Amino acid sequence: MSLSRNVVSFQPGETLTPTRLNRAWERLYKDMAQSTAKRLNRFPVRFDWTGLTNASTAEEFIFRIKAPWAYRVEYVEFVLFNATGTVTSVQFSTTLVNAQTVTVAPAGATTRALASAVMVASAAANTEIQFSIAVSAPAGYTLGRCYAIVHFVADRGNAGLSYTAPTVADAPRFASGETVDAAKLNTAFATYETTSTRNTAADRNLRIVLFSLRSIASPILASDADMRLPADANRIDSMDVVNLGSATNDVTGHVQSGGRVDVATATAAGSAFPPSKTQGHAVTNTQGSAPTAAGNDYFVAISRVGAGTIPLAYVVVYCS
Amino acid sequence: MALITLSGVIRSADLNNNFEDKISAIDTVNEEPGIRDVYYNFNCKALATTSTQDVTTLDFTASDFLQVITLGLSIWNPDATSRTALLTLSGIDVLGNALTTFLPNPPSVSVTGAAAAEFNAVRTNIGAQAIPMFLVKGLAYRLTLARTDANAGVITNAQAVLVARSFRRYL
Repeated sequence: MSLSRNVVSFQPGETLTPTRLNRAWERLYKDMAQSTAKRLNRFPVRFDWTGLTNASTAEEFIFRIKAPWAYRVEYVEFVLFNATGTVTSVQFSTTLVNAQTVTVAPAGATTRALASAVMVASAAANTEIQFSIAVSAPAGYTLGRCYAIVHFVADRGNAGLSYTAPTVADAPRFASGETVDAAKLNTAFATYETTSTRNTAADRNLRIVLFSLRSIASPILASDADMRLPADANRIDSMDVVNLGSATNDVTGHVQSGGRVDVATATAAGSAFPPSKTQGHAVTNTQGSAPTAAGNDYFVAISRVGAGTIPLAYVVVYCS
Repeated sequence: MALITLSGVIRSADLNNNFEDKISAIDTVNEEPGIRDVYYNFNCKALATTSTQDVTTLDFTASDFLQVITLGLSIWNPDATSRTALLTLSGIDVLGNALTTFLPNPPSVSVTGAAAAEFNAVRTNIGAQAIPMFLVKGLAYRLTLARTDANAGVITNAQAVLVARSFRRYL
């Protein structure tokens, strides 16, 4: 017989006092609150705007993310190394709810300029969110190295729902002399059952992976065409492909297993009115677990058809 | 064990069962490692012996309390000339200056290519070392690519990735 962990053990024939009952509920509340506070999943995504000029189209400044689950952004780091021309500042912004902007001014050719912001910005599930920059420059310019590290927070326990911080219902209180109602107890236990189920489910690795290419010539060099995902037991759920190429310049996004073998592909055709998007394409594949073996890496890759230069194409992969 | 619906005269055993059921569920979750991996990655095209910081580094803040698992480095060498790339993870301060306080033994990995092909570095299992290496949430770090040979020409593309892992019990 295992030892009870409950600080309060009710005995047969005992008068059920509100004090003891309240103590038991309070302990359960604290244990549940402490446990659920650890169910959040944090991960970074790097967005890159290196090489944009005053001649770049508006869409080239925008990345679009449409995750199948709700998430929050809590921190953004924005780095700019150089900008030839007349750049006075570059501003990062996003269409997340309650987002803040981050502005940086160039500091010199090889001198890092960094700005950052803490925020509590959120997105509901299946909502397209834009991550973009705006350049302030009275005349022509070319951006040097320019990227943002955006720190995401996701809650597996609330996957698919509007994001809320993990909350635990207040422990029920019984007043002195109050009749202990079984229905009130059942309701409270049922509420905690729901929280417990979410807490148990929140043990997976929610993550967004982004692979982007700019000024894509035809054909794409093999050395440029993909990005590695070390094998760490990712369950790859779905992918988006976004293409700013003109008509007939189609882009295909690939998720590939070891040896660059396709496990899923999705195509975004070129368009006279970019961006062309294919979002939420099912992948449903799980990696092995061997991040120290490069031979087991997965790949996120881009291929294309057509002869024209594609200003920007990217693949977004959603994992859990 | 499962919840028992209470009714009428509440039995002590039923009440104990329900509290114990929820506490056990919490214990089960708390005892799971709750592994969550993250990547920090970037690439440097045309990596030369003279490449500068603006193209060879990725600065980032650790988004969680993370154990370093491995560094990955892949290069595409354009021809038969031997070229070597080095990837290093190091700590930096808020101004971008080197800071060894919280990462005193910066890990690194290198790979040499001597043909027109893709080459992968042997990935050290940093996560299996006797003394684990952690990145501290909120502190800044830098991934740096560099050429360590003196040969002419460039490495067409060098791709760097850091795999780091958070554990639920450490959060």
